[in-house]
Amino acid sequence: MLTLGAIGFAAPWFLLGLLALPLVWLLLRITPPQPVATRFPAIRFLFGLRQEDDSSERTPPWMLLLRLLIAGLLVLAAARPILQPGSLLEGQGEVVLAIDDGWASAPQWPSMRAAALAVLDEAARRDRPVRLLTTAPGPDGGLPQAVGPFPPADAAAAVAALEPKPWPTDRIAAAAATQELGISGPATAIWVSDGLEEGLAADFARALQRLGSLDVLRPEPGDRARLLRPPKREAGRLTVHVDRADGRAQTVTVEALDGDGLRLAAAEIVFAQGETSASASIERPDELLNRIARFRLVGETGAGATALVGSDWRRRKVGLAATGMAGHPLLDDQHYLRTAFAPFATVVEAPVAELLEAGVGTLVLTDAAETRRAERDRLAEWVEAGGVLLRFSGPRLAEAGADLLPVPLRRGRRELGGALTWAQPQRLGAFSGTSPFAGLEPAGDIAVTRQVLAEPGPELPAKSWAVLADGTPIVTGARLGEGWTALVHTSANADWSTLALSGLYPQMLSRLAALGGGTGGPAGLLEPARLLDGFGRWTEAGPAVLPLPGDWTGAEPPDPFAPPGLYGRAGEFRAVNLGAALPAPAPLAGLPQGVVERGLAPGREHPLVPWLLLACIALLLVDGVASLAYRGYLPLGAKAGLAAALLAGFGGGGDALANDPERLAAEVHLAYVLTGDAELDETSRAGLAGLSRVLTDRTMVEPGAPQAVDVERDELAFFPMLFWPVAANQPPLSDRARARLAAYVATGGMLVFDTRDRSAVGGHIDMRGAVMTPERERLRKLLAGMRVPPLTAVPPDHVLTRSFYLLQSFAGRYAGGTVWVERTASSRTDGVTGYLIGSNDWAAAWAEDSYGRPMFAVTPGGERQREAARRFGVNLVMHALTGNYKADQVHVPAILRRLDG
Amino acid sequence: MPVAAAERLAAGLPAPAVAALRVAETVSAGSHGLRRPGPGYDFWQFRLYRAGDPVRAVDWRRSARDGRVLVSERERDAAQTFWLWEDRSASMDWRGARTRETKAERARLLVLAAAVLLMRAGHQVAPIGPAPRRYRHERRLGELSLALDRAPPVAGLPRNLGFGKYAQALLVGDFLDAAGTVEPLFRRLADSGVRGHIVQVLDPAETDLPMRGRRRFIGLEGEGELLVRRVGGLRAAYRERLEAHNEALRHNAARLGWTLLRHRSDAPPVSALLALAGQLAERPDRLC
Repeated sequence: MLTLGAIGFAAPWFLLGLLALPLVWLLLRITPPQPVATRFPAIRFLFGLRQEDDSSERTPPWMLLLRLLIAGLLVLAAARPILQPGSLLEGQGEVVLAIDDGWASAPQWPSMRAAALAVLDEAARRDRPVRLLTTAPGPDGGLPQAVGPFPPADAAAAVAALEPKPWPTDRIAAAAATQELGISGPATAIWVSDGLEEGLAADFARALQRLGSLDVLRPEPGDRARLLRPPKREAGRLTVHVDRADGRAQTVTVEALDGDGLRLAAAEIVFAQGETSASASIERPDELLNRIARFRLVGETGAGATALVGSDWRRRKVGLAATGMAGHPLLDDQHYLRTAFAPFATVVEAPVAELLEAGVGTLVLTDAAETRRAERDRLAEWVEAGGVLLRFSGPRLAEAGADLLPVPLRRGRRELGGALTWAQPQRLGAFSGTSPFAGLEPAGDIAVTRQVLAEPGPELPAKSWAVLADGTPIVTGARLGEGWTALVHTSANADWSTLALSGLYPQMLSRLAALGGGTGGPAGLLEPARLLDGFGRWTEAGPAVLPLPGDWTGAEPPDPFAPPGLYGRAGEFRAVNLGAALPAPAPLAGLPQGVVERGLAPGREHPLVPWLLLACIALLLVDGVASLAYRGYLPLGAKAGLAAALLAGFGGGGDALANDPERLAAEVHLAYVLTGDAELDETSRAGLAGLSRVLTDRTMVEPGAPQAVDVERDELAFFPMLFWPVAANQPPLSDRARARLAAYVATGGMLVFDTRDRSAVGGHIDMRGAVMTPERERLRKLLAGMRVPPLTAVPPDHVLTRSFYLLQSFAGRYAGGTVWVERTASSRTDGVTGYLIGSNDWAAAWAEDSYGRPMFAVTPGGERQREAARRFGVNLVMHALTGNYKADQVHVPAILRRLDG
Repeated sequence: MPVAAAERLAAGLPAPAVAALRVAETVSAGSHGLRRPGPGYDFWQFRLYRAGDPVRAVDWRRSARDGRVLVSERERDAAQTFWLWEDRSASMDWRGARTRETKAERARLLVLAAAVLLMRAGHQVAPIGPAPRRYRHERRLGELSLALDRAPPVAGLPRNLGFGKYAQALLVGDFLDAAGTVEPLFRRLADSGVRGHIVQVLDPAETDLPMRGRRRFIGLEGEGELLVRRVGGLRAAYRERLEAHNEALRHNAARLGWTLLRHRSDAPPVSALLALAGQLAERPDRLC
């Protein structure tokens, strides 16, 4: 590769082609483009004329330069130039490419992989062998190991297949692997890093640097991975916690998803400037929180941004000692308990011994449940180890008593409100602040009719968690070792009280069950069930994954043997999370002297070939157009027209005035005013075209094509009259246009307004009693500010009635509308009325299609009326052209009489 | 002219003829025929036999009815015939801009329109050529147009063109080819004693040479090619030459006592026709 400043050439030999440019120049110079061939009859007068420019024919210099430029660009493109080549891989020897592929790489993985591939691309251009070193342990549990040397293309294939792992990097092992490389001679090391100090980053960097030079490519601060801690749950709320390595102020969102991936809740966590750890809480009903299956950092991929929850999160396990009897559901204690526990706990019904095996957190003994003595001892051990034993009263307990009770009981029971008692059934009293039920509201309609009574004693008030209105304890509880024993002094069903029927019942049971902190998760080895990959997606277990020991505490970070995921059997999962055990992420720091730190997109090489070829094509197009222009194939008019079309867009309509005064002056043209209403303008055009044809047929006037006139812009002097249909939505005139129109009329022009509203219905009566239609109002607005002389209906002896035909009506499409002209036309304008206003829609009556057929029906109708309209048109044009010439006929009768006499 | 008549005409006449009628219509007001007896073809009136009248002139049938000897007089055949010649060379079939008519089209229009005027004025017209046929009525305008199409080039004209005395000829063309067309034609016609009315039809591109830049000019009549590097540089010299040529043409015409009318094809045909009508009506003694 040849390098010139910031540009390198991958195929420099092609640059020799530049030497051929003088030859190209010579060839181009003596072969000018072909001139335009023009057939020309008067060529004989050109023969032999001395041509002033006597130099031999040459290509013009600008064209020569253009073509040389194209040739030069082509040669350059063939040499495959590259902008800013070799910014990373200067030097010789092998390239060692270290890539972090731990959990923290996942959020930036596309950029990191692109950076690695760019390095390999460059290595390929420089033909340097590559060794690859990934810093995280492999899926098989093997320590980080360098592989290679490869040709760069093979290494690129390996990198393209690489994925981040759901466990942390092992930089110590990676540093060790670096030292075992055994590279002789200098090498260049590139470390594509995740930007986190995980373990001894500085040692690893030093080990790499020892190979030669080291460049570290790492994500920009702010793009580094964040770590989601497993949320902590309390009653009715949970707290999410996120750690990060950056110090920028930012807000991240944690969302809670259910098993189907639906969002159940979300919390925004706000990091202040410099804060690396923040939390937020979510308050939701327990039932909703129970449905949560995983937490996720919104907008971030990776196992570190995902926290799974196991079955211990979802449910407390409540054991219900089996009674071996099945009664009527509504009389059965078990039924009430099962129903009350169901919303928040998994109820296991089994004999006591099995329940203890299953690791329940709370064990409920109803009155009917029988416990054997051996079981009782184990039960006591279990309670002392942290279990909660909840007993309910009943006839048996009342008669026989029991052990493992929080308080000693009196033999017998108390009955209230029975047939043989005078006392009323008792209500529940308020819960004391120290009882587990604190905060619950005792319902007023709960009536306790029977209960067992505690032996009074000094400790009884402290052990009374709930009392009746008269102070009798109804729920008592006491500590036993690590656990609790509790007794409800009435039955679990509705026999002794209505407590089991109230909404308070499940709430109280929930509080009691929550006393048991440990839930006694699944015991024994837990098989991996669903595991996360590096991107936080579900995946299958890898080859090295081992079952989780039952006593796994979650203190060790995940590794290839225990990647994050769910372990256990159906319905009994334990979650392993990255966030549970990893230390808080810290930014990469302490790199040794001489290490260059760069972003993930360092000065990349830009191949220039596509741009050069693009420039060549553009220049060739320019050359093509220029040669056409040079040879005259692009006439000046076409260029101007093209430019005008580009500048003016596609405005206007009809045959816009072609601003060719000579052409306009050579013939008489009828003209109409553009109203902005395309349909109306077309009618005007067709009408005047029809009138022109009639005039050509019948009179000496042979008008040219009708001209569309924009009164704001076009020169009006060429037209003897302007036909002006009034549209209700016509834009008002500018002052300048008004002045021009006034000047036009003053110099002999004639404005023919047609409001076309003769047959219109509706409109309103204005103050002076005239019927106003929208067109008339518009006309009034158009004429406002112009000094219109007094008007009058056409008198019977007006020159309009005989300028060609003898007429007394001025029919158009409609007949009978009054036509207004100036009362006293100025003699300066030869008696031509400057303003003529009518409403008969004349243009529609004159309009003919391309076959000469009338376009609109006339009303009331008939060819006679159309002929009348045409005759009026002829008279109108004649009047405009000849003025009062025919007015002399007024005197004809007198002259004839005198001649006779 | 009534629409119906125009349509009837258009049905039978080629397009140039219709246009010629229209143009002629514009000019014909004020022209008047030679409505008087004289040697001619058409019946004019009966009069009593006078001594000296040839016996062949007596209309015996009419005389038998009346008892008097009546002689049928024919209308005077004015200047006998106006000879029409139109340049049919390749150089006429050219226009300098797509918006204009070719010179040939304009020439045909002028010839036909002039023919209409002449016929209305009582003259007959005939294309110059071997075995000429005379046309006396504008009904035959289409045939005249076709006959003009068939007229031979100058070189092919027969020696005896059969012109009468005081014959007049209308010559329409570009008259650019002095050696090939103008001189032989003038010589032939002048030898025959014909009085010519020349209308030189030129395209504006020929008079002005408006082209620019590099051009390769190709002659229409096999003159060859010429590469001009900068047309603008030649414009003045070209115009000078063309002017000299036209001056020579005018001089030639004046020497023969002929009229010359120059017409650019971008001007309205009516203007040329008006001037032409004026020239044709000039010197009535020669017309009679």
